[in-house]
Formats: sequence, structure tokens, C-alpha cells
Amino acid sequence: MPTDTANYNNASRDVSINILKETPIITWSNPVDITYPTALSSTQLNASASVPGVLTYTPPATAVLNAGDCQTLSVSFAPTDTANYNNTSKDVIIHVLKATPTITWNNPTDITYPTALSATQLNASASVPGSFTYTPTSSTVLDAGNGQTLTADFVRLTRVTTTMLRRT
Amino acid sequence: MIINVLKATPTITWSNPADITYPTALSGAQLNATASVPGVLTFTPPATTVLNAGNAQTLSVNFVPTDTTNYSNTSKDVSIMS
Repeated sequence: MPTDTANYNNASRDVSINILKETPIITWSNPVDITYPTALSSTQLNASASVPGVLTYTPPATAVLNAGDCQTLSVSFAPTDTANYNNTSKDVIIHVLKATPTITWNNPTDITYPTALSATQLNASASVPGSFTYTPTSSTVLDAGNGQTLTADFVRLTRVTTTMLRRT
Repeated sequence: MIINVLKATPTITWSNPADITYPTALSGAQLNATASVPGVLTFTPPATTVLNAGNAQTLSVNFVPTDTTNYSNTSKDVSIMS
């Protein structure tokens, strides 16, 4: 409406404006290292979004990652208000440390010279499949003496990792 | 792990000798012990000793192995009638 209504008529006109969808902000930091075979859980999969919606993780909770550095965790976010917000996603990195198998081996009972070492003394066991190499080896005859050291080296072979452990 | 390996005790083989008649001196016929591993056998009383007549007299042998790392000293008694 003009101020000078004596000389001007009222007039009107339409214009258009584009309102773009906003991209929500996902907050998610690299999780602390975990040790195989720790399953993924909400401790690692703890992303949050700036608006309501659904977070979907890849790999999902309960997944057990193999040991290895710099493995990617992803989250996809689908907002509830799809009219005003875009879908989005974010990646973080996690390091999965190798597990250390547990070796069970007790001091053997005394033997008398010239008893050869055998499975009776060299009887270590491990919490995971693998093989032991003993020093000294089975069938060795030790001289008499107290406090002689027996050593077991354990090797675990898997599809992706080799783990060595020594117990004396 | 730790293991203790104990010294073995050698086996002395020695039977009661046959009776002897005074004044037969003790000799290798009576003092004929053997051990299961190398070492030195020392008899008491020693060879050439003449025992008085009597029943069930004790003869002793003391054994010292050559491999003293792995074997213990040991001894054995037998009886002889003279």
C-alpha cells in the first residue's frame, strides 16, 4: 500500500524462495581400542544426532571384529522429519587388539634322574587352539638339580593372525 | 615352569655269600657286589680280613658313584657265616 494514496493504486506480486533441507549433525568419536573377541556394543556404537531419527550401525552391535588396526564403523542416520532434514552418515575408526591366550601350566612334580621329560611334565594347555614347543624338548634327560627351567612357546594360527606366547 | 630333578640311587647287587670256614680270608669270592652305574665299592671289613667263626656276621659295602651329579652314594649289607 503506497503512502501517496492520492497518486498510486495498491499493487501486489508473488515471488518464490527455496528452503533447503538441513543436514543433521552426527556426533560420534573414535571408540577406545577393544580386544578380540569383544563384541561391538553401545560402548562403541554410541553416536547421537542433532535431531530425532534412527541410527543404523554397520557392523551392528554384537558383531565380533577380527583383530586389526583402523577398522571402519559406520552409522547411517534417517531423520524422523524427512520434510526438513536430510539423511546422513558418519564413519569412525576402531582398533581391535589381538587377544592373549591363557596358558595353564603348573610346576611338574619332581622326577628322578634319568627320567626323560615327557607329556607328564610338558603338559601345558591354552585357552585357544594352537601348538606348543617345549624347551628342553620331550625325551630330554636333565641332570639332577633343583629349580630347572622348562619353557613352553605357544603358537596360535588363525586365518588372519598368528599369535606367539612364551611361558616359563 | 620349574622342575626339580632328584638324584637317582644306584642299585647294588650283592647276595649273602656262601659260608666260609675259619680262617678263610675274605676275598673277591665274598666281596663281589656290583653296582648299576660306574663308581667305587668299598667293603667293610675289607678283603684279606679273617673273620672269627660265628653266624650272621655283617659285611658292608659303601658305593660312591663316578657321576655324583646325578647319583647318590649308597650302601648295602649282607651276612656271612664263618
